Amino acid sequence: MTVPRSIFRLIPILLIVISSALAACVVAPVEAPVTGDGPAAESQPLRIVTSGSIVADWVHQIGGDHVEVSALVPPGGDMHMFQPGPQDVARVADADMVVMIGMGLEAGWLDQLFEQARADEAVVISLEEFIDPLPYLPMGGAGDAHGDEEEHEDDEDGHGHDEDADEHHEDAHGHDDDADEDHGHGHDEETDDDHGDHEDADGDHEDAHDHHEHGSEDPHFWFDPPRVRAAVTGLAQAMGAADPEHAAIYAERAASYGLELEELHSWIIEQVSVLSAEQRVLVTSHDSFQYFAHLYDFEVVGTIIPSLGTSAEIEAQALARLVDTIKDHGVNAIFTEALTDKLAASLAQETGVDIVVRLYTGSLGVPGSGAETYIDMMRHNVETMVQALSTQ
Amino acid sequence: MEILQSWLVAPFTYAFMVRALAVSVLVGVMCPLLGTYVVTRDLGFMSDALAHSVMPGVVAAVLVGLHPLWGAVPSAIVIALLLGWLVHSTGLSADTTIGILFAGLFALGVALLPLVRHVSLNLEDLLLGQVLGASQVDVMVTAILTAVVTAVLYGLHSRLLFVSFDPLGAKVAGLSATRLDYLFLMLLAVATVTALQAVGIILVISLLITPAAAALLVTRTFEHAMFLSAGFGVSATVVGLYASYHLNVASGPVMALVATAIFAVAYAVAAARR
Repeated sequence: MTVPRSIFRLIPILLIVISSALAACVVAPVEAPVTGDGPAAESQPLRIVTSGSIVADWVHQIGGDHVEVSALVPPGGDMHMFQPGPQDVARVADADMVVMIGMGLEAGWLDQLFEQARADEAVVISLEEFIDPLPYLPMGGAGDAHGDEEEHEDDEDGHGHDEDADEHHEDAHGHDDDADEDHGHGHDEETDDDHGDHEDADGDHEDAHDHHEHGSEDPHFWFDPPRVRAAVTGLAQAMGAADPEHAAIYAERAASYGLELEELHSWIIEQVSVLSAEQRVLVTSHDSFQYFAHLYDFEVVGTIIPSLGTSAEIEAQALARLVDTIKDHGVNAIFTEALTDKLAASLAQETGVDIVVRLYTGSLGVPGSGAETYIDMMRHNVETMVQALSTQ
Repeated sequence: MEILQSWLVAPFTYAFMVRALAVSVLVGVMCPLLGTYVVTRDLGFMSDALAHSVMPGVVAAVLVGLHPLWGAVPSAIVIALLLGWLVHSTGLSADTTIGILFAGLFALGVALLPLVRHVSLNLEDLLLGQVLGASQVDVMVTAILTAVVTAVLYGLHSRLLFVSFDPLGAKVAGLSATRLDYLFLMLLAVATVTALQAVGIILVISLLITPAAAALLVTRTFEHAMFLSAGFGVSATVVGLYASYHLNVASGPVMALVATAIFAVAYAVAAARR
């Protein structure tokens, strides 16, 4: 097969195509690549990349100006739909530390990204190391999850952590009164006493990876402020280990943020106290409210999508059972994310439930949404839920 | 000048970008070479259908704890053979047969998906792939595959061409069109599902069809078209990867868009000549 001379006539065409494409790209706004060769300040900020915006907010609360934090999945984005660009991957490659939720939340591509970061010797922190997770029970369909909550707690033989949600619960009540004046300053010592068991902070990455495969633990612990506090404390220690110069500052900021979280916890208790026991039932688009339900005495009677993912197909039978469950429980609100609006709407029509409310579940809200920080997000969610559920 | 230089070099200070470049250039050669036959024989949707049809095999592989590829490649071969057999024995068009197999097998795969729910297998992950996540192994597998595809196409070129353009004449000349068809379909099937793992469905289909179609528009002989389509394929991936880096957009879709742009230009050139 020889190349005939005439083929060379085509080369100019090829060149035009390539150069015009290149030109198009040069003209397009070029974002400076995030590389570390800026002017050598006496202390470079710790570069931290997180999987999502909620974790990024925690890192920001702890690190302030001493860290440079960015989230891979932006506010309003869906982890399951995340398609990284090359510079996202580059950010992970350049990062000093990568922080993820763990427990299988960062599935697929994100997980692969973090594997690479691990190979690049970045410190990879999986927040699951710092909390005592609830088991994740796939709901075969609506109704399967009833009443199991009590057992969950006992089943937890844990990973050497003895955090206990109920303990926190009590704790929070105790601090109720002075929390307002205190937060944001000092007061680190008193809040730390039950977090002594987090020394193993970055010891068991392998372990953490194992959990992913099983997906047997529920990753949505951010609906549980006391657990968030434990995670933030552990995260601050890990950040301190990576940046010893500012370790004390991180610990201090984490402690005062811990007080804010405690305040949030008591605020939630107060907010939901207006709801009667019968009103405390949740139907959500996917199964992300177990922690919330467990902590604040709600019951998740059904989820529209049975698995953690947002892409599973829904079995007709499961949906039919969900309709029955909603009618049986007299549920008057369905909580959803943008993703499953269509299903939620048809479900609402089928069951006569006329309130479909959007909550922030997997990420913070976009600027201007009133849910730009974790605490604001939780306040927005709780207010929305209480309002919807108390409407009769 | 300096700016242009750093613009060109900066992306490839990262190892993952170098791997992405290697994999996509290889696929950018392999797919258009195959694609010239694919387009000529009207098998354009074959690869899309295959990517979806191997789902039951993938689910089965994951279920017994194997890498998805162990399910995808054997089922791709089986499906290719089944396709060839159905076309030959029923007289239905390849298009119709592809449609039947695609819908049936993909539906089976989706229905089976709940079985592997516990390992969080995502449909998107299987289909979209990630050229930015290409591993060392992906690079090697793609390189071997490209070498095999190129060698087979080179070795069988005259016969494949004969069979593709003049099936009756080939039969008269004593060539077994059936066996060659099967061989080609199998080659295409294996190349598709393997490349799919590395670069994702959009890019595979785009590179299989678009560069070849563009090349066939502006060339007069089949061989010219093969060479030119490989050139188009490589340009699309290289330019696309640069663009995707500097715009920070997922790479596969950008490369596919560049391929589409190349087609548009080729169309304009062909139209101007007329």
